[in-house]
Amino acid sequence: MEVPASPSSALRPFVQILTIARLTALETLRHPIFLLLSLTAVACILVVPIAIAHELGEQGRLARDSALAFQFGFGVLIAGYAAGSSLRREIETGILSTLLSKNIGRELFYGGKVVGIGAVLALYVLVAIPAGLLAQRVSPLNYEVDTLALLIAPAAVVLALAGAALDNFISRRSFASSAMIHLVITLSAGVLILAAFSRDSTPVPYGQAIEWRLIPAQLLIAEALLLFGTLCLALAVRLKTAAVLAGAAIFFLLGLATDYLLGTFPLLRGWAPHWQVFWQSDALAAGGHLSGDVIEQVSLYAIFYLAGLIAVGIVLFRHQEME
Amino acid sequence: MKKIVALAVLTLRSALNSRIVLILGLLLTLVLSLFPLHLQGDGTAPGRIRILLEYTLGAIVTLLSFSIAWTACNAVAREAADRQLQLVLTKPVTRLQIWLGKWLGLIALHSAFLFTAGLILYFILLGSLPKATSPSAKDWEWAHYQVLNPTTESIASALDHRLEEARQKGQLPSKGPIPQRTVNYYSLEIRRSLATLAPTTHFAWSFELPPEADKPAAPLRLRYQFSASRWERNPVPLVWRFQSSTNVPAFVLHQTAYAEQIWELPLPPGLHPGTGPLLVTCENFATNPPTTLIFEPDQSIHLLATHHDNGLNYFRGLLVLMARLAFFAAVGLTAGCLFSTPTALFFTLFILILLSLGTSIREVAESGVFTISHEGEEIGAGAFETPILAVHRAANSILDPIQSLDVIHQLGGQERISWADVGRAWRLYVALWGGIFLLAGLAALRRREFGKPENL
Amino acid sequence: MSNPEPPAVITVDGVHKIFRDFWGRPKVHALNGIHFQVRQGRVFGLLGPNGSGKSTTMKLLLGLLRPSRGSLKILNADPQDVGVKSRIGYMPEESYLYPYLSPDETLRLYGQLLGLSEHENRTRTEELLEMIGLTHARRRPVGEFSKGMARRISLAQALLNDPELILLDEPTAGLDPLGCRQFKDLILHLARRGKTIVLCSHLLADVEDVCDRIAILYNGRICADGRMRDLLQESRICRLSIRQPSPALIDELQQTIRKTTGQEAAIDHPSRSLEDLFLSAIRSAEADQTRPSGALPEGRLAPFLSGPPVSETTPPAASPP
Ligand SMILES: Nc1ncnc2c1ncn2[C@@H]1O[C@H](COP(=O)(O)OP(=O)(O)O)[C@@H](O)[C@H]1O
Ligand SMILES: [Mg+2]
Repeated sequence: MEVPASPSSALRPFVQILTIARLTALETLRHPIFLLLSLTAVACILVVPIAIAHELGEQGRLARDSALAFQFGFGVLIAGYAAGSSLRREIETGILSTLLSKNIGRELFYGGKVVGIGAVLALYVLVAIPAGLLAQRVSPLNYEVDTLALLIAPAAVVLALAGAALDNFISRRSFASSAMIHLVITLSAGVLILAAFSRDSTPVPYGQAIEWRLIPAQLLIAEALLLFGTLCLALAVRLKTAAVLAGAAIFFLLGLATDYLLGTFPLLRGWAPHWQVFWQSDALAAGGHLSGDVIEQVSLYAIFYLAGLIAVGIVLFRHQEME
Repeated sequence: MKKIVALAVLTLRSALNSRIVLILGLLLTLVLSLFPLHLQGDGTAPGRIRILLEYTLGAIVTLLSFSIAWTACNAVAREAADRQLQLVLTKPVTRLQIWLGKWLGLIALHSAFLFTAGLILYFILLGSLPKATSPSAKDWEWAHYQVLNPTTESIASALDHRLEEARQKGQLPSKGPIPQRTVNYYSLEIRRSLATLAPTTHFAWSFELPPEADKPAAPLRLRYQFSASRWERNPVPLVWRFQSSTNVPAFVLHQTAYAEQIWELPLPPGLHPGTGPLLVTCENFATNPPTTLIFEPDQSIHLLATHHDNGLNYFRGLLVLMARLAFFAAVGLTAGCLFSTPTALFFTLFILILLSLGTSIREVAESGVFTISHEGEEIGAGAFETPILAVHRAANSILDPIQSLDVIHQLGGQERISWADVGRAWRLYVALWGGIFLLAGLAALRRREFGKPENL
Repeated sequence: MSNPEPPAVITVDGVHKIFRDFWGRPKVHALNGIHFQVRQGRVFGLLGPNGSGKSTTMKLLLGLLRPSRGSLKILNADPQDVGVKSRIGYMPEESYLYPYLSPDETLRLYGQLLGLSEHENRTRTEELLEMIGLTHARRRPVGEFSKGMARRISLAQALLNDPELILLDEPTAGLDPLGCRQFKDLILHLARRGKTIVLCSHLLADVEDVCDRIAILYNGRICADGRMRDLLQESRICRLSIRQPSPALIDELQQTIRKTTGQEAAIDHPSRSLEDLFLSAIRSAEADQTRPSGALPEGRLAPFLSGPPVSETTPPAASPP
């Protein structure tokens, strides 16, 4: 963690935040569980629409919904794990006391953690987005399979893993983090190639064959994940990893049931997050697009909520005793 | 043995000490207090039993499964990471003792939870059954039933004939082996046609009953279900005949029933002398309007032998569930021997989820991956079919025997769980799969070096 | 001096240990072909800077790691042999104890694993707790202990089976000076009873006080080994000590020396070692002290450890010949 010799005093907080963020992200990325969860997410996103395609009518919708749902589901696990393991483990093992004895304010430290987890989630989302786009092509439409997509999608995953293995062999970089970067590259490349071919493998004007309109919906899910990660981080200040996951699950269910609960407990309005607003799959039905207004409003909501959660986390963290 | 017990106690202690046991106890209390209160069922006594046993016990077992998977993963992986295992390994204990000790400790802990929660649930159940004097208890008794299936009709010659016919008509290739899927299809078709009753026709099922199936205090019951050729739900008049041998007059029963519904008839005692087959004949009297009835082979008609030792049956059910928990513990432990904590947990949960997907895997393995296009012809998944089928078949051959032991569903349906079922569960879950995972775990423990350098 | 050599308890023959990465490529050469023998009744010190492979050697001897090349024998058995472990005691470098068990429970657990009878287990636990001065903290979970307190339990755990061979990895790390001294006394006592002891450390003072043989490891190689006296003695230099000499006497001696040898004699005042100072200060304070919450400085030897020598083969020669 190279800190420039004498950063100008104005830049110094940023350098520190970035240093902490990098540390957090690297620690998380190197653990194989992160790769495993991401890979499972990709596998589910790609395979589930194929596996159950013959059971339901509207295939496009199925592939879209499952892509968004799996992106969210596995993202939640990753966010919970990253927050729990990075902060909690550091508190438990006493690494934190070493870190905090360097002259870093606790606020900056916590901010760095948030940015680090944000970076981890961003990498995950960069994998999930092209996987979701590929899933649209891989799932059979009107009982016709897209042979090219069926070849490219698994090839992208295999290539990424092989690339990471080679990278590990040559440069001894951590396999897990290298595989994530390779996945981003190969899956995106797969999408870019398929963008030039229609479902029956004939060339089309570039870009037409991909449902780009899915991306805004995926980005909204990414915002929800970021909220979730910050929430877990705030919980991790006080709770053990298992308890963080349990607490987050309760909060999550609370968020899903917001509409129902709001009737019962009006006080909860504005406190429990509205996960539903991040789920805009319905707007995509029948060829629709997400309107800019919706994206803007939801993002504003996310930003305010995020700021609130970070503030709560910092307050908790300030008063946390280090063993 | 003493060492195994010491390690088991240690594992128990460490689980007790970690928060998970507290959380588990809390959640179980929550389930036990909320589910019976809030899930009232359809108001009938069997509905009540189903709610209590299928949902409440189901929730309890799910919780325990997760908990045992989690603690099992931690039992080895955590200790290896924190190096306590290093010190234990410098004592004269074998790796087998370590594995077994931890396994037994986990099983002891979770069985204690299972049987305690199970006992409480049983008392809740007893307390909420209708009193014998109440009107709702009139056509219902607190018992459980052993499901007896009719002997399968021999259709070998009919099947050969049918396949030959299909070959001549060009529906099947004239030479070469016929895929099992196609054979299954034709045999189902034949058996279905046999049990298809046009108006005024009849069909007889033969039951081989165990000797004490029909007792004076616990007579047989008939359970059946059929489909009808008409959409309108008209009542269908049926005549049932029960005959154990030709020189005894048949017992005849008239009934009016609706299609697509499960019917249960109490039968008088003494229908079956204890040996020989019991013939059950159904005659279709639906002539106005004429309706054809279809009895689905293997699924539509059963005789039920009544048993009253409900507590014992429930206990046997818990024993089967215990075997399943022991299996999960074995999976978790071995995962912990192979991987570090979160990865091990991932692996274990993966297997748990795979097990819960068993039925859909079986479906694909048996009927193949095909879709029906708009023209009604069958399209395979092309080049992908062979590998997909192979994977599913392999998975199914492993999962199928485990899947068929759905005791929670059986308990909820007041079905009998025999000692043979318990034995089968323990052989399968504990002896076979537990053993396989034990061997894998030992191999992993033996290969792995526990000499992590000391830092932090 | 002319004793026949006692039998070898540990034989390490050309051992290499290479830690490899996933692809099987060497990552660290922790040991590069070391040879040594430890004979019965000796106190053998393994010295070396951090990361020189001391702990790795210990773990190889215990069968926790497997050698990449070469062979090890411990009490005439393979280190992977489970049976031989009931005759060995090992104190790891860090205390790998179960944090939620109390000292009492910890020792009982290891006693059970060692196959001690229930009665033996109880009395030995009792005696060892007394010896390490943690009887008053026997019901507190070990997880709350300070490092030194945990180390004491770690030590007790290694002695539970009254082992023939004791392996100690950095035994004095984390112990207070008093504990250190008691510890060294304990080692000397055990050695007198015919136990073989291997200890590794980078704290030279510890090694100097108790070991009769040492090997110095550097970078996975043994760069010096032999008898401590032989290695340390500067046989050509002689030192003269006099209590409260007058300046005149010193002058006279100086002159005599200069005259007869033509050399200049060096003059200095011997100072007490810090350890001695610390110990005497503690001892004097001990009288008016209430019971501390940490480890107690009682340190009476556990009776089961003070029996006669267990092995009849050769009387040990731990005391200076
Ligand atoms: N399990 C391991 N994996 C990789 N390297 C190891 C492992 N254990 C020890 N090492 C390396 O072997 C060398 C010797 O370590 P060690 O024997 O613990 O040193 P010390 O002499 O301080 O006890 C060090 O460079 C260390 O990094
Ligand atoms: Mg060391």
